[in-house]
Amino acid sequence: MKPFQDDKGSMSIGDLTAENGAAVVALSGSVEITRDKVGLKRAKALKELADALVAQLEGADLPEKADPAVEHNDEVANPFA
Amino acid sequence: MATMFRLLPILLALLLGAPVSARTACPATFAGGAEPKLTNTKLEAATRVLCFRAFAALHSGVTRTPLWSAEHLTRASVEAAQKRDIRDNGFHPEDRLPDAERAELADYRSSGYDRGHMAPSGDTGDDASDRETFSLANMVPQLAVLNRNGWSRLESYVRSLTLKLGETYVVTGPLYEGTSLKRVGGRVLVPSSVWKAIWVPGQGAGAWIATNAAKPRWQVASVAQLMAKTGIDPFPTMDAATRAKVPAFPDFGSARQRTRRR
Repeated sequence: MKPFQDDKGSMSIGDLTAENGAAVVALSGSVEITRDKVGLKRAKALKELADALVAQLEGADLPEKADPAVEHNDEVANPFA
Repeated sequence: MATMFRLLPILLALLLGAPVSARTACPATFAGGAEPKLTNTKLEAATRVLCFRAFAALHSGVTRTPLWSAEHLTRASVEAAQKRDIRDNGFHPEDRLPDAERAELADYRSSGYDRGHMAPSGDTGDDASDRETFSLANMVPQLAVLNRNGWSRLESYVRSLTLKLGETYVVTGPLYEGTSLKRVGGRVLVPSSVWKAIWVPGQGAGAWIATNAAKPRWQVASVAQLMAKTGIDPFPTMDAATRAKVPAFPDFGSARQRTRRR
């Protein structure tokens, strides 16, 4: 997953999910880092993700705080009612 | 609307002289081999059954979402799923659907809604099956507060229940209540609630319904109660007694009922 480069990528480390977006990368869920080889693999995957996030942000010309996305949702009659 | 997706197996069955009752395209996914049934006929417009490796879905060209996604989980399938610790995937439009009927990635962009899986990614035991769960034909617009919290805990709970009891049939889908509905991208309808029904043959059945709202409200329901609300019978072969019973399921409306995956 290349952070901020598309809006389709999704990765999971244990039950932690990272979802890519052009404006936001969303991390949700939880993951246990156990003191074993599984834990080490997870820790490395987390580090790789965090490094990629930082590299992308450091390489960009960033505003202090981005404007929240404008929603273009509308409302329609319920076709099943 | 009947389509080639639905008709092909019937035509083949006729040609081969097999009984026409075996009309469903992906029977292994369904309890008793019977595909979920739409009891509200308004739901039938522009629907197509899609078979995937790990689930089947009924896609609606009206909502541009599934109306249900059905899975058969076993202890072995959940164990295989839980071995896949680090996973890499991508959301994609369903290329078996006509452009006019399917959701596109752009429809969900800056909508304020997550692309919420109906058949969960976390139930799959290999990369190809997992990738298929990321088809937009398996997604509904779901608020992050539900998708990333209670709903995700419910999915883990169903896996842990499967490990304990051996096998479950699971059907998941959106519910559309009210006179009007929100829509994202000018194309994809936002469900007012999301539901999940499970059946453990010989043990019992039931459902959860959670509102797709900033403060989701949860209801544990019998399969009969779910049917009355959704107009969908998730398990047509189920007996009346099992259908009527409200199960003693936990609800996932608060963070206290956290279930562990490992």
